[in-house]
Amino acid sequence: MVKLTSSDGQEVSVPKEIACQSVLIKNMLEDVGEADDQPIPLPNVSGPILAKVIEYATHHKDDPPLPPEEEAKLKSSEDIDEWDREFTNVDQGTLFELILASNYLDMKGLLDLGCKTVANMIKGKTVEEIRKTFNIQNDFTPEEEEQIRKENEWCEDR
Amino acid sequence: MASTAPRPPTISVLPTELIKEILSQIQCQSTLSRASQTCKVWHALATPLVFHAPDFHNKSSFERFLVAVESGSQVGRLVRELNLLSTPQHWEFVTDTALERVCKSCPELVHLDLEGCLSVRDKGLKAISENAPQLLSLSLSFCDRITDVGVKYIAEGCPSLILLELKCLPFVSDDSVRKIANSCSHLESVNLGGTRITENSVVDLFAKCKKLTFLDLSSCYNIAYPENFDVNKPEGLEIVFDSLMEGDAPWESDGSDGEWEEDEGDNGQFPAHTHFFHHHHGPLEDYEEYPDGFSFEIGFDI
Repeated sequence: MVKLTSSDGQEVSVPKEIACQSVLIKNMLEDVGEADDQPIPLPNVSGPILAKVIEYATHHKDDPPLPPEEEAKLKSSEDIDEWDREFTNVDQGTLFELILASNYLDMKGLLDLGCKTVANMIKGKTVEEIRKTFNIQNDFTPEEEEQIRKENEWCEDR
Repeated sequence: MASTAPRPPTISVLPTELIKEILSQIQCQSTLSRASQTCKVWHALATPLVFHAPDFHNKSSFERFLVAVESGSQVGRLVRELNLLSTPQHWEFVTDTALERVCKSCPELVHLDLEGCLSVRDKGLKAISENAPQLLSLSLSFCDRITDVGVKYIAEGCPSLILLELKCLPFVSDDSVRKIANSCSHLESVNLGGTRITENSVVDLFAKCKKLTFLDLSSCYNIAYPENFDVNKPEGLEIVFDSLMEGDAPWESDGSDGEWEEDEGDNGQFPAHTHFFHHHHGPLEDYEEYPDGFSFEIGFDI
């Protein structure tokens, strides 16, 4: 078992094989060696997010490592399986925290899932709808906006 | 989240590298384009993805693209790949003039696929050679108005080419292949299928293009002595034939191939009439129609 401490001081024990899905933790364990049972501090991951991350890692613990070409195929596909879809059915704040945590912990599968989920939220929306969905401030001047609109006109199906 | 202050759910908590990661999951060009129009950061991240390998729904989309890349906003610099095959009517609207405009405004273009752009002529290839010396791959397959003159422009202007496809170009001859051999020494993959080239220029290609790993000579019916390739070809080169060649040749099918070759010495000394085997796809019996094609049966007692 490996002990992990979240940014808000919550300590959890997880089986090593699950913790090691994080390349960050795996490397840390290799550095300190087996004997050390000090908890590993994760200052960038809050307790609730750590719990989600562990849930994900537990569910995916038996996933075979993907060969690069498989991975590329998955990346281009829009399929997200049922469990993953349910797992990412959370509010935006949690979703972004998960993406940040998976990036920090170096968990490629979870990072891809998070990014894909956000990407799917962008699809099919107009410029204004995207801004609204993600609370994006339009920082273009009207002139810039017009120029960029023209620059992108050819992309639209009209 | 008891102990952390609630944050507003805004995507700006993510660093730009992660926004970029998200945008790179989007394959749909129009979605990316809309994302690029939301704010300055997203514009900077998504625009290179939008213009990297533009895809056009139709002629009007292509024309508006040309206007965009010529607008002086430098977006043309972001274009790396252009493939027009899937655009309806590419065979009509991709003219020499359009090609010139593309090459002039997309100076970083490295992959250009003009397969089936039937309106392209030698003049368009001149524009490519003058404006796109950086090209790494070029397909002109089925652009059947192209002649040796145009291929010469390409050979001289685009010396970095790694891939070149000239499939089914009826006016492309040995001259083209020699020009390519002399100028484009980086070539790794070449398609000359369905052209009227002969083995003479192919041997030149072998001599000059040492990195060649793939060569398509299918349906090159003027290649009479492909056996010659075995001694001259670069190591590791895969050659594709589909005509009556190699083990299919009638003089080899009786199981005494090696012997026959030894008796006759140099492979290159076959009588000229053996040419017709490569033009001929029918069953063996059909050869009886050819009165002078039987030296391999009559002349050699096995």
